Amino acid sequence: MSVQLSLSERPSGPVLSAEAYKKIDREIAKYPADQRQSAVMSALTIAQREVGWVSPEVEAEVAAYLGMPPIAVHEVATFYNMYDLTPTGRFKLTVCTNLPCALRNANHAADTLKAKLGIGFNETTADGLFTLKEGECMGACGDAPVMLVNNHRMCSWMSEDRIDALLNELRSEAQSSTSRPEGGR
Amino acid sequence: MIELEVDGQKVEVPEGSMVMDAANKLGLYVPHFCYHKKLSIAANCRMCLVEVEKAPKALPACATPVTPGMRVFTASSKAKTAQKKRNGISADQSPAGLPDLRSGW
Amino acid sequence: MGAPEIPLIDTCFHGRHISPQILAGLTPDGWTIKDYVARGGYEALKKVVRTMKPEEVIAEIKASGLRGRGGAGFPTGLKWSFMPAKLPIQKYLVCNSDEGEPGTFKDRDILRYNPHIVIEGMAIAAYAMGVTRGYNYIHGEIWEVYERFEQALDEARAAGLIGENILSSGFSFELQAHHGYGAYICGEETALLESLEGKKGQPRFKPPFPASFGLYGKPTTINNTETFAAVPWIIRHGGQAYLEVGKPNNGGTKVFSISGDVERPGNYEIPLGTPFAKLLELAGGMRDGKRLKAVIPGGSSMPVLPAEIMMATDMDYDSIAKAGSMLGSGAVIVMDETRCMVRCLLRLSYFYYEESCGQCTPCREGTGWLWRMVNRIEKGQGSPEDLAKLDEVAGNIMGRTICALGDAAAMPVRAFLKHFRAEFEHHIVHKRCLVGDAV
Repeated sequence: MSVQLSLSERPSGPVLSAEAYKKIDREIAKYPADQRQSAVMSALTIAQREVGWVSPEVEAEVAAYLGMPPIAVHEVATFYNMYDLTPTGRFKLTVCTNLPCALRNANHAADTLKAKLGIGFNETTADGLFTLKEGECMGACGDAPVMLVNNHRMCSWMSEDRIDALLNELRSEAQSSTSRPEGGR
Repeated sequence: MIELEVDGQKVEVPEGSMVMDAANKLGLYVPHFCYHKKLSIAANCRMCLVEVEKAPKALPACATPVTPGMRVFTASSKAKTAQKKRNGISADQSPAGLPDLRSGW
Repeated sequence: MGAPEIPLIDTCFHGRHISPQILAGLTPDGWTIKDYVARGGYEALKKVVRTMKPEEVIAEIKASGLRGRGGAGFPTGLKWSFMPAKLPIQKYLVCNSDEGEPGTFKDRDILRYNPHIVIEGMAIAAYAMGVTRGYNYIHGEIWEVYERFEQALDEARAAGLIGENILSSGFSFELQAHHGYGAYICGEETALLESLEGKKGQPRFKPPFPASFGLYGKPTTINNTETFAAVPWIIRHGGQAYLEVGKPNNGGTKVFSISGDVERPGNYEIPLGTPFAKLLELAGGMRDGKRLKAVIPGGSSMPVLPAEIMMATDMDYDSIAKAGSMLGSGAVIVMDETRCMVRCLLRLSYFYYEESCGQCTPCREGTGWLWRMVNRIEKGQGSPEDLAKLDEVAGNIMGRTICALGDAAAMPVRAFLKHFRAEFEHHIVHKRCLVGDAV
């Protein structure tokens, strides 16, 4: 139904790498052949890992590849709150502040991060390294305080010491590689 | 064709019709906001909630299929309460400090 | 990095389960198929495909009295019997691992330390209902667990335990993992189906129920992670034996996630019917020896109970219902004497406002109103009429929404008001907190 430009016909070439498309193809194969749309969440996740955020170009490219109207991809990208529709810092840190975590120092963990990074929720440090976000229940309440780094790495029992250690680790990772490592974050 | 009763009046509608179709055929008005015969059924405004005999909750007339012998009450106290209060408050009230919500009345 | 190899405070390796079935014999690295088989894994599947008819499997599950462990507690055998087992059309089996109910973290431990028990349970269920394809929907916040489950699936495929012609029986069942990405509402079964289909997770009307119109419009059964995990034990030991672990109408074990003001938060598998006082003791008792004030016994959507009532209650569906709440997901959130009940409700109310899918008016608007009213009260800007209004709004949302999220937002409000009204009044009259410190 939608016009599908082949990857080579796109004005500036595809946004996603061949490696990313291989991963997306593996996801598409999980579903019936006439249900490519089921792979949209995985495709956007793979794209976000590589590009850093879900840009309009990413949405358009995923829509074309899966044979979906671009608005349908946009609906999905805006509905699920782990997708970022604006660029974030190199490390997006999400802290759960829901009640079970709050009962075990989550708000203190959040305040610690705000103080150490000098930013509030939904802000990015001036050096572009860290974005801080407030999150909802991540299903790991026994590990409180709980954090995610770039959605896919869960950090548990985040006391001040462990927060310090994490920030140091992430900062040195950023220093030792100036560009995003192969395959995204 | 399926026969049912709405507000005490018998009516026949094709199988697959909704309670709203039966009420409309009888010329009865059920408050509604997101329902239109040319649009797909959304059932999300919750204004058309009506009482159905033997059903525990008020049901949306636009999205409830008719069944033979069904008895529907569009203006009973249970129906009227559901229609007026489904937004959380009566249409003539408003939590202090918040804008009045009079959608579609 | 992030967490050391041995957890600082292990959530299920504390050695304090009682008669565990799902969490028995687990170790941090013992999740592979080799370890699972060594503890008797996949014997139930072999028994099923070699010696049992599909109807017999369903009968065994019915006899066990197993009820859905995700929150609704619907009888599992009955749910399975709704599927048109003999109809030769494509049907689907779905595992709901979108664990997002605040306080619940049992499925995370089941999936990361015993993924094969879920695979085996699903394969048995698929056999019973004539299903050849299944999906495990795992919420995206536990990404590493999703990746591990995919590794477990690869192991099971390589061993011929899922896929074509399982154990040369002629029965085929292909299972895949799908990940969520931040939407609590996708724990609602029809919203989950919408999400699996590549759309926004907005719930569908019921009826039709998934057993007649489910994934891609085909008959589908959806069960929780823990429900599937309970199946192999039932097949190996029999439904009657399962029923006898526990109390009449409340058979088997349950994994309770306990969090908040306890010494040892974690997942504790105990027989249904165990007294709450015992569960609290297993979790190390109250943190810092403080006094118990309130408990939410089944996940944040369930009514809170004050200490006196909770201490006299057993952990099973019927007892907790009698006490005025619900067992739900079995997520126990413990609050001590230092906690402000208004502040606790405030954070919960914000959650539902944030997570409402927006589809229907009472929830989309109502969750916002509930949160804003509780917020005003907590900040000392409430007025005396607010409490009646708060209760009225909550009551009006209930039963009038497309799905249960509206009810889930309303029930905590009504329960906190019912049991701790004095604290709300204090915030209104004195414009400050009765208790002092909060969360």
